Amino acid sequence: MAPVSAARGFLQVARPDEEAELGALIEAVARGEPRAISRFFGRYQATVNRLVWRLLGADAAHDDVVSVAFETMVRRIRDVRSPGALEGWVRAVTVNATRMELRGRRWRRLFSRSIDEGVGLDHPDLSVPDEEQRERLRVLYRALGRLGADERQMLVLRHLEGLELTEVAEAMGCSLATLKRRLVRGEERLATALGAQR
Amino acid sequence: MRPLDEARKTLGEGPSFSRRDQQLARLLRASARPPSRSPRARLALAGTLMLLCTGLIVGLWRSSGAPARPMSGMRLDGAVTPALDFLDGSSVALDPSSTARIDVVDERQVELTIERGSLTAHVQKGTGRIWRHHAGPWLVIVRGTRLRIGYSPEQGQLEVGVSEGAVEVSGPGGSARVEAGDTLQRRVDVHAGPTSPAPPRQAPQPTELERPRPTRHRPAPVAVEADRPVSWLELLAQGHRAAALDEAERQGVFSRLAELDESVLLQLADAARLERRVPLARALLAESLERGQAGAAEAAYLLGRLDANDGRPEAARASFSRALSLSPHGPFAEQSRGRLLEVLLELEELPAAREAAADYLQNHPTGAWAGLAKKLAGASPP
Repeated sequence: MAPVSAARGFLQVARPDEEAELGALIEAVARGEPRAISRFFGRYQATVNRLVWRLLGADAAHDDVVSVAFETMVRRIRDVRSPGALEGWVRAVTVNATRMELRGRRWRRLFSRSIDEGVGLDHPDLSVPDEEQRERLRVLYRALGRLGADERQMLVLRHLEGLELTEVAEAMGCSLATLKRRLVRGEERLATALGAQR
Repeated sequence: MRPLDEARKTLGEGPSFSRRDQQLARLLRASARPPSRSPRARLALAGTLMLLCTGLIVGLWRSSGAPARPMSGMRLDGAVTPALDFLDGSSVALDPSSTARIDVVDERQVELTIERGSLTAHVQKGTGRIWRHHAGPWLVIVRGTRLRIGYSPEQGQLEVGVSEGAVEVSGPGGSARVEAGDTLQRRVDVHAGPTSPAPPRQAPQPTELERPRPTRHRPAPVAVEADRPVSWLELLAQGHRAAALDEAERQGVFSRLAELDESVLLQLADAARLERRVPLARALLAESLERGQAGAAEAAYLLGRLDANDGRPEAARASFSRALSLSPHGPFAEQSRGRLLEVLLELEELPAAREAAADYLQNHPTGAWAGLAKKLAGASPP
């Protein structure tokens, strides 16, 4: 498992030589060149998969959300302000795609009790043999499911993904002050939700 | 937040690499569109033509009896796509005048068809994946090697050169193992003889090893209105799913589903599913299922997924069972068996679940649901 610092590697600002390479990659992806799209995917798939995996909790909709995120990126890659901003932009698009899934799920839950907000412990790619760990994971994601999409994402990005506050704010598209305020509220709500399940 | 710290370790980094390759294949399929050239009208026309051609090829191929594939019909043109890198370290590079098609990318296999020309493939060892290269009537099976394959349908000629490892070649001329440093040439007479009645522009007569070729007439996809600068088909090809569905609805496409080619039908269903337009997705999948053609098993499987997500396990059970009865060994068989197992557990029908687990293990002993199936099959009845 990669440590948090490695997981955050994608946040580094590109060096000048990297910037030129990324600029060429952005242009090629914008032109719809399959090889460039393949490279773009290869470069960012680990980041996007890890983010979606943790934000949703090994969910059955994982692949769909990753697909929506990448399709959006390919379609809108010209929105990237500069090559150095690409990595942050990738993360923001991913967070947005996940947010849409979570919000849609809340609405669907109003009409169907069967929408499970828990973690996908039976996902073929998730192996948690220890029953106590499974239970703790189940409790955590059920509690997260009781929060709003934004609060859930802020908490996961900050505490599970281990991002700095400024990085979380950038991904969520809000100010640092707003983030801090909502993080405190989210932590309180999560603690309450966790307590309610025990 | 200690629970979140612990979850980081427990959850890990995400899904398997084979799943990520499927994501890449899906992205490339969704991104297939004409290059950004001006003027806009030319771009729109090119996009429409490309989509129609691709849809027709995939549709015809599917109609020929070949099984539906999760990731099918991605075309590679050496002039546009000189090479493609896979996440497991494998790669395929096409010569400029060559064309190929990636038919399947999943956990266990990659299947590609060389339509004409040459390609160089580096297949990473130790991934557990089998690569099958179809070239006319020949099949080249690879498990980890570097090789070059050339195929000319006009001359009915195949050439396989191996630079690392070994490959197995089957088809006209018999089976052969080609090892590092060797080159194998095979040829069929495309103008005469029992194995080559086909005209020059077609591949030689199929053998049992070859994927069936499209021959039958298929209804053409819904025509694009000439006076519309951007059609729903173009929007769909460009990934604007919601806009494509809106435009198709505006044009009354959904009231005449019978006119749609099956491949377009499934693409629309996929778009509707992803856009959460569940009733529409259901209608499109039901139409595909009713036709009973190559995509019917895929449609039944996807209907099962919708049913399961909607909290209708009984309906999901029927849909997954239908998918299995339509194609018990097709590309959706394992997922249908696995999902069926899940819904039977949800329904708390343990005897049926145990039976499904045994069936799963018999067909997919190392599959993704094997762990769950083993637990169930091994559990004693209450």
